[in-house]
Order: sequence, then structure tokens, then C-alpha cells
Amino acid sequence: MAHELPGDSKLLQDYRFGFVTDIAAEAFPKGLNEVVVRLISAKKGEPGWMTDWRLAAYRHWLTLREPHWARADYPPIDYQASYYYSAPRQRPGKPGEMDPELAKTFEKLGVPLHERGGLAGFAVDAVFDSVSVSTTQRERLKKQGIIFCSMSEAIREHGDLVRQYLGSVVPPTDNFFAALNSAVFTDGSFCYIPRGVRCPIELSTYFRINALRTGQFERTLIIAEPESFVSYIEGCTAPARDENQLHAAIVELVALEGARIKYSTVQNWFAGDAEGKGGIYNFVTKRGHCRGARSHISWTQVEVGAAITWKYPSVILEGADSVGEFYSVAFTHDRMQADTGTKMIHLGPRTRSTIVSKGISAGRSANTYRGLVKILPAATGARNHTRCDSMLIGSQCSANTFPVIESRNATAITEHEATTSRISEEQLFYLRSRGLDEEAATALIVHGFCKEVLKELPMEFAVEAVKLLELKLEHSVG
Amino acid sequence: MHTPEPTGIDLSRFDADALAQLSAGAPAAVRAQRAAAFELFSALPVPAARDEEWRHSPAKLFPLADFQLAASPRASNAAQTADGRDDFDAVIEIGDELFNIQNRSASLGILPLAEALATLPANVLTTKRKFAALGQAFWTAGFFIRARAGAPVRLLVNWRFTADGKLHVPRLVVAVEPDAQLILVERFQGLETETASFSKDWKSETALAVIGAHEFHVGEGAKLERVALHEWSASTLCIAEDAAVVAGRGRADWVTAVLGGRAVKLAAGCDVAGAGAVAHLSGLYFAGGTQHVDQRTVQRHSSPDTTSHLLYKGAVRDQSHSIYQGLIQAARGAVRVDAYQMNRNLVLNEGARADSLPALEIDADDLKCSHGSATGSLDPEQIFYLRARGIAEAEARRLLIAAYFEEVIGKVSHAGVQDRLRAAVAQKMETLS
Repeated sequence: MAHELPGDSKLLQDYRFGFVTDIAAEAFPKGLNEVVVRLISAKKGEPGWMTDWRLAAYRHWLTLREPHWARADYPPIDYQASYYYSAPRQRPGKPGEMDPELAKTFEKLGVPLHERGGLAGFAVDAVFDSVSVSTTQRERLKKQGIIFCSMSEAIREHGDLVRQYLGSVVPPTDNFFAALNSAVFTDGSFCYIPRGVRCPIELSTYFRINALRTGQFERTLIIAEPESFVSYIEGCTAPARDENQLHAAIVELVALEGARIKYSTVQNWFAGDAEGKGGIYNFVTKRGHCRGARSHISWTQVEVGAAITWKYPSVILEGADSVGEFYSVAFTHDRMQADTGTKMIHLGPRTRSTIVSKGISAGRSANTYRGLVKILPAATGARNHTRCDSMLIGSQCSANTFPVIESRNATAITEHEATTSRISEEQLFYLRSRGLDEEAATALIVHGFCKEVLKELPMEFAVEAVKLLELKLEHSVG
Repeated sequence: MHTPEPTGIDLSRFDADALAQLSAGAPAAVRAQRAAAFELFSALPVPAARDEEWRHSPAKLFPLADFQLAASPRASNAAQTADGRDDFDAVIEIGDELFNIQNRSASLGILPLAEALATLPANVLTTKRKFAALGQAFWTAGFFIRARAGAPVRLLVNWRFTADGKLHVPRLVVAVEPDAQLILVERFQGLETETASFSKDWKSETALAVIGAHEFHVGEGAKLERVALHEWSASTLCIAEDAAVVAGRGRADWVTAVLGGRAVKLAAGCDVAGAGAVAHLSGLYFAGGTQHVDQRTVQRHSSPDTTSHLLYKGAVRDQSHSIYQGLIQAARGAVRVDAYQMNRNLVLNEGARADSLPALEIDADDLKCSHGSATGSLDPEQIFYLRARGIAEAEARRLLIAAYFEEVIGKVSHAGVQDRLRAAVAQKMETLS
């Protein structure tokens, strides 16, 4: 899209000359200010309340300072040197142009061709393919009253719903990156499951993340009305570039009485090269709110990419008997830095949460689990079980575990277990003596190590995740 | 919401003037040591709520600026009273104005720190800890203890300060020489001039503040058992940052019991620094009323082939709040390390709060590090079992709590100290329903 701007906007006309004309280049000039925020809002044809909402978030963001408590080292980010709106490039995709390293990757992944294009993020047909897939599904979903569309469309078509729920789980004032995202988010998914409906298919954002690859701020909102169910899949990849890119997304989940949301992620952003050059800064705020009694939110994530990950998918357990789950595999290699975990906030009585985190560090990477389990006074009979295991491959990597457990209720029970060790010599020896080479043996052991988490993924997705892990290991062993 | 920058504890009292006052008339070596430590202290930032370690202990709990720095106690030759001291080879009694050393062991050397510094090589541990540095610069009552190779020696150190608006800075420098064995029991007590209740009528004039900074050097093949009993009075504010370094084949057994005090913030760092070194850290804490007990432990493995085990068990009742923060660190190259950390908490009633932050920082691969944390209440089934056998519910609860702490009490070798701990736990449970 050649950045066709609505001609009736005085604001845009004034600013029109500021645009770079190169079709492959980004649309808005560098930097962040109120004009850019207004431009984004105008470009998306948003109603006035949305523009005001963004501006309030932007003004709040100005008062905040970037958090630096995570275990991550990176040069200061110049927020004025980034582009805050950029639509997908329109170059016709040529497989010959694909990075050979990536091409090899996709061969091994066995991703269907149209998706392969999508993964590379520049093949236009792939993007169109995905959109058409989505449309056909939407017809099917519509019959059941399910709304599944882009966030921009939702703001236009389902303004009341968006207005009611947007920012109700992650308010724009939540943290630095949340405020930034609230001001400049460009798109994302919106999903609404009506009362009593079980979404018949798994909803996915794989394609749209690709389409929006260059727009690094997306926002997802899922609302599950009472007694409904949805399984949602998010996949992320990014092409290899030698500069760092900031990705600050927000995901909000709202589960009402008896509703269940299952959210699965395979995150494979470009992680930078072996020397740590380039890669995505993945600073994401994900939070679910079990608002109704007996509601259930489950996060499953396989994190194998991004130069730096800062991500704590959380659940606020407000409804009585609600359940929160977090299953995570985080694999870091080369110079990657991952600081990830979860927060389980127990507000309601008899709320339960389970945390299973498996960290694997290789190369010179640093892998940190950081988690919070908070039991508030009203959470009578609350229960948490946490299991964090770290595996080290190589002597130059780090594995850290920083859990926080706060208990303010005498009837609540929390349990936390964590282990850190290297890949077992004995297990390796056993497998090798049966004819497996070191790589295959390592992959098998790692697979076993992560099994508890991988089994939580939807089937096709699990297959892909396993292959991704194996592939990543290949570069890290030996 | 934009929160203002949290401020740390007001330490303005600890300035060059205060240092000059403490140093007045002291030997040159003491002045030099204090000055070097003061430089270190001044360079370190004041910890505040933005630091993870201080996040749960707001500065307002420690209004140290309201206290006067105590003068150093003078030596006294008065005979010590018996009171269970016969079990010990040596006893040091330290009060507000006087201290008294009684030493019957030939393999134990005890000197006031000021005297020891004159003969010792300058021994300022580089520390990143503000209060450890403060203790090194501003110690008001300091002792140097040296245990020589031979049979185990038992030393009792009684710190007894009056709650009269003073701030005391006790400091021990303990050197356990190669193949020596020392059992050190420290009792920390505050003497109330009037009964101060936990909260409202607290005022600094009838309260006590203590900042401790002990250091322990455990030599090759040496053994140190250190038991610290924090039996502070209800008005006491205590911050202590202690450090131990254990050389090859050495062993440190460290038991910390916190029962008293209004607000207590302890840090205990133990570095198993030589091959074959072992550290066992154990903790018992029982908080009631509005007590605030915040403890941090560091099990640092700076060397390969080292072992550390930790068990901290606590209970909170009434409106009290306990925080346990534990860290296992394995340095790059510290292989064949075995480290374990376990924290358990009993929350005995609504309104009490226990936080647990067990952390691992691992930079080496060939090792086994793990931690566990469990927080809950007494098991209703166990209470039921005891009640079915005719034991009243309150008594059943007391029995279970006593049994819960027995695991830690058992780590103390001295039977008399064990009994003292049991009695202290029993006292804490007296009003428990």
C-alpha cells in the first residue's frame, strides 16, 4: 500500500511532504510526538475518543522512565530515532531474495509454502493468502456470533466493545512500554466470543504479525463471554537485520464467568547474529483477567527468538475458583538475553495457579525466570504450584531464577521448586552408546526436558515448536 | 500513576564529624582503618525501595536519624555472673558502657578491635553493601577473635544494649585459622526501660537501634559454627550485614534465629571460596504483633567443588510480615557445585504476611543447584489427628509449630542453646489460640 492518506485531513495535508516517497521505505518520519500519534489515529480512521485515548497515553508516557530492572544489557534506545508507523513493504516477493539462512530454516521447518512466504515477511502473496484465509474463516465464525478481525477494524466497527474493554486489563498507565504501545499501536487482533460459544477453530495471528512486521507495536484484545471457549495462537518471526528493532506489544485477555481462554505463542523473532548484532527487543505486556467465577486463562509460550525478551504473561485471578496457568519454554543461544516469567495475582477465593517454566541456555546467552505469586487476603484457600527448571548447555551461559512469593492468607498454599543443572552427562552417554550422535541425543534430552510444556500446545503448533527447538539446538551444540 | 523516587534511609548522621568523634584519641591504625572504610561507605549509594533487596522494607521502618551514635564501651574487670556460662570456654559481655572478656582457652585469642588493628594488617573487606561499610567505619563495639588449630572452643558473646535512643554498631572480626574449630554463640538483647508496645507509642528515646557488620574468615580445613540469637526487645531496630568466606575444605555452619525486634533487616553472605568448602545456613524466625523481619542470604560459590545447603523456616502471626530473600550464585567456572536452598513459611492467621524470594544466579554449567519454597498454614489433618487423641486444638497447633521449628533447632550443637530456642518459640506461641 503506497500510504494513501485521506485527503480531507488538514493535518495530513500539512504533513504530507514529510513522507519519504520511496515505496519500500517507511511512511511517517522518524520520531514520536503528538502529531505522529494523531497521524496514526487519523490514518486508521479512528473516532475521536480513540485519538484522545492515545494522546493521554502518550502524555503519560512522557512522564515515565524506561525500566531497567531486568537482566538485560543493551545500549540506550533512542525513541526519537524510530519510525512509529510503517506499512508492509510492497516489493514483489522473490524466493531468490530470501536470506539463505532463513530459506534453509524453512526447509527444515516444513512450513507450507504460502506460510513460508509469510515467515519471510516480504512476500505479498503470502500476506494476501493469509488475509483471504482469515476472511473465509470469518464467515464461518460470524454464524456463531464470533468477531475476529483486526484491531483497526474493531475500533471502527465494534467501537462500544473496544471502548469497554481496551485498557481494562493493561491500562495505558501500567508501565513504560504499555504507555508507549497505547499511544502508537498500529494494529493487532480483536476477538470476541459470545456467551456459551465454543470457538470451533483455533484462531491465529501468524500472518498478520508478518504483515505488520515493520509496525512494531501491536495490540490484541480477546473477550470471552460467560461459558465460552477460545484457543488462540500467536506466531512471530522477523527477518534478519543488523539493527535492533523495538517490539512493544500488549495482549489483553478478559475471561468472564466460566469462560476459558487458551493462548499459545511461538516467538521466533530474529535474535541477532552470533555476536549479538541486531535482533528484536521484545518488550511485551501480556495479561489476562479472570473476571468471572470459574474462568480459566492459560498461557503457553515457546520463546526461541528475540535479542532481548522482557515478557511476563500474567493472570489476575479475581473470580472465585478461577484458574491461571503458565507454561513456558525459553531457549537462548549466542548472545540472547531473555528475562521472562509470569505473575499470578490471587484475589478471589479458591483460585488456583500453575507455573511450569523450562529455561535452556546455550552459547553466551542469559536466561532468567522472573515470577510473582501474590496471594491477597481475600484469596481463601488459594493454591499455587510453581516449577522452574533451567538447563545449561556450555560453560559461558547464565541461568537465573528470581521468583517472588507473597502470601497474605493463612489458608493459601504456595509451593515453588526450581533446579538448575547442565545437560546430564549420563543421559548423553546412554543415548550415544545407542548410536545417536551428540546433536540428536541433546535434542532428545531437551525435548524430554520441555515435554511438560510442549504438550500444552495445540498439536500442529507443537510439531512446529519441536522442530524449531531442534533447529536452534543444532547451532548451539558442539 | 507517576510515583516519586523513593528515598532511602536517612544516614546523614554518619558523616565525617561523627567519624572524627569516634576516631578521637584512637591509635593511627584504627583511624586509618576507619577512614578507608568511610571512603568506601561514602561512595556507595543509600539503598532504597528501588533496589530489589529493599523493596519490602521501606525506609520509614528505620528512622535511624532519630538516634544518637553510642560511645564505645570501656573494658571492665568485674567478675561475670554464672548463668549458663560454664558451658563456654570464653565469654564476652558487651553492655552500653562496659565490656568484659573472660577467656579460659589457650587456643582462643580475643582482643578489642582497636587493639587488634594496631597489630593486624589493614583488613578492610571491599564490600558493595552500604551497611557493611558503615559497620567497618563506625563500629562502636568491636572485637577480634582468633581461633587456633586444636580442639573445638566454645565462645559466647552477649550483646546487651539499653533502649535509650542510642545507636550501637557491634562488629566482630573472626579468624578461624586452618584446622581450628570454633563454636560461637551470639546473643543480641535489648533492655527496655519501659515496656514499649509494638506500634503506636514507639519513640526513639526509649528504643534501640543497631547496625551490625561481622566478618568471618574460615581457614583451610577449619570449622566454624556460628549461632546468632536475635532476642531484641520490641522497640529495637536492627540492620546487620554479615559476611563469611570459607577456604578449601573449611566448613561454616551458620544458624540465625530472629525472634525479637520491631524491624529487623539481616543480610548474611557466605562465600564457599575453596575446593571442598561447605556451608550450611539455617534460619528460624517467628514474628508476631507488627514485627517486620526481612532476611537475605547469599550462598556464593566462587570456586569449583563447593557445597552449600540452606534451610530457613519461619512463622508469622498477628499483623507481622516476614520476607526471606535467598540467592545462590555460581561464578563462571564454578563447576561441580552442589547448592540447595529451602524456605518454608507458616502463615498462622489472616493479616500476617510471608514473602519468599528464592533466587538462582548461575554462570557455570556442570553443577546442581536447586531451591524450594513452600508457604501455607498448619495442616488441618494433622490438627485433627492430634485432637482425635484428646489434645486441645490450641495445644495441637503449638505442638505442630514446635515440631516445625525442631528441624532448624537441631542444627545447633549446643544443648543449652537448643533449649533456649525452644523456650523462645514457646514464648512466641503463648498467646496463640
